[in-house]
Amino acid sequence: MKIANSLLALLLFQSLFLIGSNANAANTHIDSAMKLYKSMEINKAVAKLIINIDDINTLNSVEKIKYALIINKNLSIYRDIYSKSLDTQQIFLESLINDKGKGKSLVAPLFLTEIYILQKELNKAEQQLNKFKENLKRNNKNAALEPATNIYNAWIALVKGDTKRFKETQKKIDLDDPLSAMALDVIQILTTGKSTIELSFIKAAEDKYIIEDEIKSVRFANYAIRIYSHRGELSKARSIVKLLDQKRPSYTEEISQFKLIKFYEPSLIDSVATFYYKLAKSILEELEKDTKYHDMAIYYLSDLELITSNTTSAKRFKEQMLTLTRLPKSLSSLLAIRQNGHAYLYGKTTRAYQAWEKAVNNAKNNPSIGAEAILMCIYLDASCPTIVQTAQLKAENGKSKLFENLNTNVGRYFLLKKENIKAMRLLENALDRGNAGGILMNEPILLLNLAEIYRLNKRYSESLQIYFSLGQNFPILRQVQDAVQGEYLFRQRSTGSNIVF
Amino acid sequence: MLFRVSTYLDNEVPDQISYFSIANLETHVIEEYMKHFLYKTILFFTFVSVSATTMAITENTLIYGETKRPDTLDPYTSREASSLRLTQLMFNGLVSINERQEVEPDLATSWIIGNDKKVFTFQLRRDVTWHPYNNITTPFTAKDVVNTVNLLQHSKTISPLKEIFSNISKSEVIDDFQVKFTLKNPAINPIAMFNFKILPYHALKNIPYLNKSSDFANNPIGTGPYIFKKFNSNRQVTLVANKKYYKGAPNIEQIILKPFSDNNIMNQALSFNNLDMIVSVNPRHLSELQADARFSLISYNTLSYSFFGYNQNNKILSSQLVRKAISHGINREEMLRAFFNNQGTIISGPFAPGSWAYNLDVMPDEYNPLKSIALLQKAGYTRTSNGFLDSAGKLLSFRLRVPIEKNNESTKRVILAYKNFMKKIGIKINVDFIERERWKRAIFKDHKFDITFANWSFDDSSDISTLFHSASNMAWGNNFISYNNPEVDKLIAQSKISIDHQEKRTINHLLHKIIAQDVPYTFLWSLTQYAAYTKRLSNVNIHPYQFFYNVHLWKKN
Repeated sequence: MKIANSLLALLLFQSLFLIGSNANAANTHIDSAMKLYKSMEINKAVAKLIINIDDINTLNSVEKIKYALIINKNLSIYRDIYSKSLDTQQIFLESLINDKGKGKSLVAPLFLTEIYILQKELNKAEQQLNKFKENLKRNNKNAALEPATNIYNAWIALVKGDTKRFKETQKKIDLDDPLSAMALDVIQILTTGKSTIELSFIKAAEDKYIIEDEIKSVRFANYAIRIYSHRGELSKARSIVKLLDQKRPSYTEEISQFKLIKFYEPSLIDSVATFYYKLAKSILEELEKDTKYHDMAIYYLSDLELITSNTTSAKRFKEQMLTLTRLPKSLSSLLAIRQNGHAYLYGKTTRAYQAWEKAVNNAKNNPSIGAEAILMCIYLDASCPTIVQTAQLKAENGKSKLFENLNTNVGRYFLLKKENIKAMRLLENALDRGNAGGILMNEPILLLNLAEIYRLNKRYSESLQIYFSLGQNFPILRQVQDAVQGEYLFRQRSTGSNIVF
Repeated sequence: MLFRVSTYLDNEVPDQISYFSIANLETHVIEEYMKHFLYKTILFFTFVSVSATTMAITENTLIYGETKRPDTLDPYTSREASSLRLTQLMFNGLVSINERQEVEPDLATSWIIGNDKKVFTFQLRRDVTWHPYNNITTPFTAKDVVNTVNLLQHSKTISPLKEIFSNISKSEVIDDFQVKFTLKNPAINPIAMFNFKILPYHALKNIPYLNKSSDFANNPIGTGPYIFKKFNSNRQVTLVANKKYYKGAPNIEQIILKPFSDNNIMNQALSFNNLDMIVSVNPRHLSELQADARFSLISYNTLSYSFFGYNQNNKILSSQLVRKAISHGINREEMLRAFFNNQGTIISGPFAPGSWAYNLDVMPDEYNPLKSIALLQKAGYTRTSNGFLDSAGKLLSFRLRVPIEKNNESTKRVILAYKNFMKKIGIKINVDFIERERWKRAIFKDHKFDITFANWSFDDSSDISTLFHSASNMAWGNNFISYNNPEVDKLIAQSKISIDHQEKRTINHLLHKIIAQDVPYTFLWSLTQYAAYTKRLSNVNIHPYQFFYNVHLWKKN
């Protein structure tokens, strides 16, 4: 089994640091979540924590660290799923819109509008929004989605900084409609960071959208999780996440008896990820006060900020990371790399590149440090061609399993830079194929990126096979699976042969 | 050697203990012990003999291993993956589909599509010749193309690929290098359907239809990169490079297909450098091969799955309740883990999970023997201490017929486990391992079986129509279980005529749901396929459905 740096660090940390801690408060849910975590069932571990632990304050410091670490890990996976979801859904929705088959989708332009806004392609978003409005004029079958047109219109205006247009559109939004009011608040959170909606209004809307513990509207859940998380109402957000079936589509368009199309909330993944971010942050900030665990808390807080490329805290961690002394060696050896991650975010790019280059040059002896340096390039979307070139050589010549993370991260970097052939080679190098636990014993991040590179290289069936396995642990992947199935459907050219063997 | 045998027994057999009775276990262990002892001993002599043989083989030869012997060598009459793979080396279509799912010209240079999307006129290459036949080389022309369609449309031709030709209403020679087709209905991927392999008119002009026993099926000639040279008594096939291949002479001079009846021996042959490539690696050998720096391991997905199929002509098995009870009685997760090292996924219906047609909302039947028993009781069967009794008071029992080529270890394990799972829920299974050709006749032609175990493999159109449409319930038809559900027939017909992608997906998702509920098969698992090859080979780019795509570019250093 391959163990990620952070997990390795945790295990070492546990054995070195915590053996003597008081076991009385040990929480069986934490233990079983840790077991799931170690077997790479990260999301199941998170579900166990979210469902079973109502009050985090009942946990001791060790349990809190474990809790936060599991959430951190899931956050990094959700961030990756989110970017894959935007890309795959965009391609599928574009295919649907360009399809010349009978009975065109009238709804696809609306969902593509949101994807384009999230991808910051505002002109394209505007075009699709207009297309959807035209469709509504011709056919009112999907009139239930009409209020969303004003929301997207307002959102585009906000992103463009067109205050006049935003205010005019805002007047058209029915604020008595909970979904519209919440959507308006969400787009303001996403663009200006401000949320003004009365939380009691959302609470009242829960009666309409949550019936017998079943969430009836995915859109409602998406908005509620985002707003509650943003406002720090984490127990409220948690109660929604707990009930949410992350596989559910947001809307199903029925074009004919035999033509149904499912549409998903693309921003749902980001909303849930935001909840994880806030949750982990609140736990770690609490732990900062505990002198014994202060350094660990800072380390993992800095991890959170690197995962989300947060520039506002860069100065703090750039300075604070160097003061940490009470860390196991496995983590302290990564401090310089990570500290330079914050330096990079703070604008000290040359210094960061030099530190990472040094780490990669030493990767033959310590591949995990080299892998960490490349991870910084990925998290921060930094351009590291020289560093990666050196890392690639070390990764490809590395024989032991210790090089798997280096191969994974170099492969991910190439994938980000659209060097697909190289990316596939490195990601395949990293895959442990013969593990008796099956493919799911590999790092979820590796599997996600491998599935994506197969998709990009048109090896759809292999991509879907991996997503299928991974989807058993990450239900939210359904929107990616559905989109990749759709892309494959439009691209496949075979005509029908089958053989028995 | 003894140490390895002991390790094998210690580490692998206990995984399966729960499935076998003590008597079975003892037999099994002794069998395995003997087999391993013998094969290690035989291996040495085999390799000495192979090495002696290979001395006559030029250095620039690719020898690859398959676990199934090819039965015929024409592209249409065989149902064996090994045969069809081999024909990719010898034949071409008018077009081909590359690994990026793009249609590209092959024997045709260009085409014109009529306004109604039903008429297609192809311009053919003028520089292609057939492999020598009676020492004479003949040019490829339009007559070859039309004759191929006529042969495949002949009512007496039996081919698993016949369905592809059912939508062609007319094929005409315009001139030597121009051919015109008229379709009955517009198709969703119309040009791609012309990737069927073209057969030589001059070698088949006296044959009205294709059959397995024709001389051509054993002495094929094509236009492809390799020319058939010989079969040996063990169905080992030797091909030589077609130096006049229109895309350029292949880099590798000779290709030899070497069939093995035992996966372990095949894997050892690769390790001893007596093979250059294995097309499908046994999951148990993956970690060993991955750790060996001499080999490359490459995955490819053939959209395949394994299943137990239930003959609905059997009165008892015609009951959905009984079939459902059987499905709930099988612990598929355990079998996948114990016998295939978890290298696959459990499936819920008639499509592979790598397909666009797979319905992700349908969950596999969970392992629940108590539910099985309750369902059998609901179906009206009486439970006794020996098991369930049928209406005549006899123990509920079925004949399971399985193809086996000498020692297929994993199939045998699956079957024995199945037998024991069924025993647990009160059903007796009489296993009948039969030689593969006999099995095909019993299953596909005569439908003489109660239950069978097999695997299906699909191209990426994921077309299941012939498997479950009642019209395919005939001798040599793919619906050998005689499944008949008018709703499924209707949906398949609707899917066939649909030229709308999303509509096809919706219909297939519905089919998945209905068929999963009907349980004509117990759908088991889909395994990830891996090919392994020596790093002396380069330029290898494996296409999931055309394994040897662009083989003329492969090199051996």
